[in-house]
Amino acid sequence: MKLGSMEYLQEVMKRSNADEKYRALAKGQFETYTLVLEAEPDKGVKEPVIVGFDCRDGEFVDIWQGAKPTLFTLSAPYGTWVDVLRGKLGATKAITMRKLKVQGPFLQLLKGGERVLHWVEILRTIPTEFEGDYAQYNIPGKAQH
Amino acid sequence: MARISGAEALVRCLIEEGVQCVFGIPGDQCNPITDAIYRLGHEAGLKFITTRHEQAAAHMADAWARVTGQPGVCLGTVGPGVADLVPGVYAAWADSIPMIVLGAQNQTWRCYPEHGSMQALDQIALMTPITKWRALVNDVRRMPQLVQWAFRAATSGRPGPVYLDLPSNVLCDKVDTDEYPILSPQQYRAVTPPVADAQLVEQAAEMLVHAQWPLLHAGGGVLRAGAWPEFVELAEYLSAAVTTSVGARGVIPEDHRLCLIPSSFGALGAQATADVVLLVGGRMGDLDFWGRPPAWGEPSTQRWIQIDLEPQNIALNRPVDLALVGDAKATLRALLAAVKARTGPKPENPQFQDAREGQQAWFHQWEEGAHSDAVPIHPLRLMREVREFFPRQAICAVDGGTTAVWAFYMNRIYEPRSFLWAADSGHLGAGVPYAVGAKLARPDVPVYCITGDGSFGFNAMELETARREGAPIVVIIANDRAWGMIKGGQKLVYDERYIGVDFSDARYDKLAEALGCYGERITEPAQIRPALQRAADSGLPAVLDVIVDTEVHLVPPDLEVLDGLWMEGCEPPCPEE
Repeated sequence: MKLGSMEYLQEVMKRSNADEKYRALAKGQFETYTLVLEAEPDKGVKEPVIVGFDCRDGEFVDIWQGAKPTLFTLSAPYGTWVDVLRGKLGATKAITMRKLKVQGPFLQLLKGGERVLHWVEILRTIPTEFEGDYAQYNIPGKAQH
Repeated sequence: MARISGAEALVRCLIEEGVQCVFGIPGDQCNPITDAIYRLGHEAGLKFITTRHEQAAAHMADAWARVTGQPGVCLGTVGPGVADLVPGVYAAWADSIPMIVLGAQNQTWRCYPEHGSMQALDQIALMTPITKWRALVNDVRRMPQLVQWAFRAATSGRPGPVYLDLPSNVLCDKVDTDEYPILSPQQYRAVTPPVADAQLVEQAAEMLVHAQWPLLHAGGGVLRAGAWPEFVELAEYLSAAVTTSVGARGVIPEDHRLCLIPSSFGALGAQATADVVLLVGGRMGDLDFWGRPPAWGEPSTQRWIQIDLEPQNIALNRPVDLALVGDAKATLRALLAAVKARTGPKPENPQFQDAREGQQAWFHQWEEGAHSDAVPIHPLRLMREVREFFPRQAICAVDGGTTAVWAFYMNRIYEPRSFLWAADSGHLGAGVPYAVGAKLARPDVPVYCITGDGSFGFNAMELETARREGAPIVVIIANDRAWGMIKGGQKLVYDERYIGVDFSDARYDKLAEALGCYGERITEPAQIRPALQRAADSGLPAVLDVIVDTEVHLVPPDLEVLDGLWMEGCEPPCPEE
């Protein structure tokens, strides 16, 4: 599944909603997110990838491609997202070192920091194809239990 | 007319300052000093503590200063003795610890420049980068003045180590103390610390009173100035969130309702969103994320007030809106009065609840490991057991790389000046001597040291010092048979190409026994608590050699963040797969 495709987003929603730990950790949170994967033409990523989702009380209720106003916007070069998904770069480091920029109520994001870290773990289980030069790092993924 | 030797003048100055311990290793050139301590010390309550390495002597003097607030004193003999003091002096210098470093020197006609004396060394030059002031006592008539100057320099402004170079002939020469008197401290150094400009204090009060979501951040200067009562009272009055730099832990009890543990999700969130930040006695170095977003708010939206005794520390890494140059304690006292004159106690901002939830989420990550029954032992289980065993007021020295990180998660600090860590130098090997120095300074308080096996090795022989001097510390070694932090870095960043990081399995418990101490090896979690009790009951310095799960221990959760801070801008020069 191509990173950021509707097929990929559907899988994100499916796996996140099926993950009891994630649902418990995200319970009580009502958040919308935009993720911006910035273009890197010199690496073969010609266009930015922009996706969004709506998570309510631990459940993903909507996903979309393109920009919409959301509570949080997380943006980084495409390669940074690849590093996070491959496990080469932790989400906490990515945020604190400003490799991944956050707009929105930071305290709200951090108050449930554990859910964000666990969600990244879920993403790492999804078979994922990357653009351009990053295709060499495609993630085989794991079957969902 | 009273004529005394230079060494005796030196020791009489130390006694006037209330010095109780000089840590060091004797030598021919400094025998006049140790002999003067022998003759004069007993009546005055001044002791000489022989260590097994001068580095440890400097660390012990450093610990003495950290737990008492008074300058520590250490001594090395000419050449290698002074050179060996350097690592310990560096750690004190990095953390702004007041210390008087004494070095014997060859006779004045043999040094500066030296011309063939054994053990010759330009010790002034050696000490220059790691001391805030230094002097050669080139004539005995200057001895009282320069010793007094040394104490003034070490304790005034931003404190730090100072160095006195003491030629052996000057130590033996006689001085007339009627003409060159031994003064009491109030005759040569300020006893009233400087308070910041009153108008600026009023402005700061105005900013804090009108803040919606204030945060107070303490650096080590709060501990050095003894300013924690005023700091905490101001926070409580404003219902402000409180964070500390890692080196300032203990300014506020870490279970206080206003305290957010350094670098926890709660602390980072509050630091990023507070509208007004009051920084006291800190420089905002890398472990404080340089004061930069996203760990802190944007300078355009978050207003900063800074109190520091040292003008050079103002806005060192983070722009400020209001700078107050003054002693932390005196200035906070004035600020507290100015705040109280403007408003009653302020209610807590609702965002505090989010910060607490963030902190809880952070804590929650450690629960599983902290209660793990796994063998080998999970490092968090070890840290929890140790912290729960010792009383709140116990003094804790922490040493090591990954071990220090694991300790950070579970080893809460509740009292000021009870946490000893070479914060800004990250100096390995300080832990055991810190614990010994602290125990000698505060014999009434339990002292324990959490250390890695690598860091323990640097100054393990100081167990003999502890045994000889009656300092029953408890040393807990998280033994991973490796330079754990470096091995963890090689695991994370260099694809497990391990080089130079592994040890053989050494029996540190047996080493302790050989040195007349209590020793025990622990391999299962259920053994930890009873072993701690046996160690405490032994009445001896004790070593618990705890075999931890190496795979877990190598990579604590935040190692990657720390690595990112320290290696910022460096891409590892290794091929991608």
